[in-house]
Amino acid sequence: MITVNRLIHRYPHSEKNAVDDISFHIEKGEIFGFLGPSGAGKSTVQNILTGLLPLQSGNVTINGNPIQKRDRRFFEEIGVSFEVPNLYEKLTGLENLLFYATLFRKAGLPPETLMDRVELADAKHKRVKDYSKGMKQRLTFARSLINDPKILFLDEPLSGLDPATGQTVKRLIEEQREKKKTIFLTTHNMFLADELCDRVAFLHEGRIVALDTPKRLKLSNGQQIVDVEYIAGTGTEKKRFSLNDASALKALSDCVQTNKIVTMHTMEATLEQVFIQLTGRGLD
Amino acid sequence: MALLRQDWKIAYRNGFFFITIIVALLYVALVRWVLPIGGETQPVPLGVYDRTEGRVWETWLADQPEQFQLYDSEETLVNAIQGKKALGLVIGEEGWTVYRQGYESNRDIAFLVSSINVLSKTMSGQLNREKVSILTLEEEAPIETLVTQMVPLLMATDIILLGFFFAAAMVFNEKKENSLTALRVSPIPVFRYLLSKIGVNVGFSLIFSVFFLLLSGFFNGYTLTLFGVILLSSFVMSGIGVFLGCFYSSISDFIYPAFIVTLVCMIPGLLPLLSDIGINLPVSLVEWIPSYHVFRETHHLLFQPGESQAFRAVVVLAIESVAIFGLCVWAYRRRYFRLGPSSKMASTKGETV
Repeated sequence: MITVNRLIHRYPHSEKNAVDDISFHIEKGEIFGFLGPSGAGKSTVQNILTGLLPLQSGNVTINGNPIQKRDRRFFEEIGVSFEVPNLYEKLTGLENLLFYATLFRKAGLPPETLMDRVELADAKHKRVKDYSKGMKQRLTFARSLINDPKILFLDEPLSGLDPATGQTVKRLIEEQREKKKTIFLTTHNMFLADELCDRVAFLHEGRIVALDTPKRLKLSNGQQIVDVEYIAGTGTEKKRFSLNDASALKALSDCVQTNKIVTMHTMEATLEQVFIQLTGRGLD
Repeated sequence: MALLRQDWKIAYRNGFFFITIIVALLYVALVRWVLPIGGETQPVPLGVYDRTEGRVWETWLADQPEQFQLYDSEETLVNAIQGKKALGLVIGEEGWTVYRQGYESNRDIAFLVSSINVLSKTMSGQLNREKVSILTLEEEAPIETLVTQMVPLLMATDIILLGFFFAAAMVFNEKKENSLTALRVSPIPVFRYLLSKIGVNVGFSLIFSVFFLLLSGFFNGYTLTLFGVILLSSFVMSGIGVFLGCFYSSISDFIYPAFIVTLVCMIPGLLPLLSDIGINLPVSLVEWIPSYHVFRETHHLLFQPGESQAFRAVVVLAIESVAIFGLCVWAYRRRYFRLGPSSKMASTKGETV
């Protein structure tokens, strides 16, 4: 569906590449997560793919067509949600969606239904300038679905959302996956990537440092250990057992049988820990 | 149409419509009730030369220096008044000659008529009024008053203000809201985007013109032709606003180029003043300033019923419209819409994409 080969991008007056020779392929119906801290080059890649930035070097094909030859049909088939909401503030939420709906030949969900799906039905006649940041973010996300796109580019779709509305947006993204939509998800939210993405790429200083399924990344880079906390005398004690060593497994079994266990945790690495391990820095 | 409707709605909610109406109404009030009709305050001096045998009227004329300024030859009189705000009168037995500049106001003409009446009465029948001939020193020109000068100036400058500034403001607003970025990932063609911005402002200019001309009482059969000129000149000026708006990020950055454009567009209205101080700009150059045609055609509509230059105005403005629209398409394509590998799109890290 999307093939990127040896993509390089450098901003004017910059001495280093913002995107430095990256390649990846996204299958149809896949949710592909682009993970990295601010300034890693995530948004630059998304902007090149959506046509907001020019292709300087490398090859990018979408649906087999080079992006240099994109035409009206390309824009008919994509939906883009931006990290910073970019709506007509003087129009109401519904007017924004109604207007964007007229720009496309293909109709998606009716604007009113979309407003309802992102829980903005009550605010549909309110001007966007009076929306909170989270409401604007949801409306921006809803707008990306207005043409029922085949490919979705989502840049930090949960940014500024509270956990409850974040779940609503997450459900909508999952629905799109069920409809076999291809989703390019740019985020620094490791939990979101872990929950939603079929595969993730870690981007660091413009380069992809790892690309795999979240599970494999965690397994290959994390430690298979269990932390056990149990009652010992008047207090508690903690012990760590490796799951790769037979004697340690026996020791774990003995500990569980002979002590009163307070807590027990597998210490599987999180995506953030994997990222830190690979790059030496966090995602924030 | 959806884009046009949306741009109109946003412009309306930004108060552009009310600004248009309020400015038009203020100008109507200015023209109807504030500016004096025939607004000259001082009568022009009247130079007189007595050519009669024995200069029989000279003594009588010399006794009234507040009304007449005596000269001792026709040549001295003409040299003294030519190019100045003054009238001349030569009294002879065979007839009288009036020298005028060609741009006198009603008040000046009235003063001249009354002077001739006083003299003829004084001369008790010696004057045959049919023998009075009037020679115009300059090309025949219509009678001008402060109002006649102000109306075309107000029309011309406000079409500039409305089209030029509102169009640029709309672009800056979209840049500020970043809504332009969302349009760039939609299938909207660049020419539709531009036509919508320009179209809304042409609409404002027409609304302004209708209000102003109708309420000022200057609406007549020629108005439709004038609207054609207004439509095109507003298209050009809105196009210039949209074009310049492409290269600046906010209205504050835009102030200097806007000031220069406004100044240039005021030149046609200032031509008489410039001429007075000895600066004569060639019409072949000035006619390429869009406001010139609005100024000229409004002037023609109000005070110069005769042959207008509407056809030439339409040709010049149509050429300018095509040129500026082409420039807009080129600039917005290159910077914001549809790109190839070599396009110069907004690609600096600091600039919003």
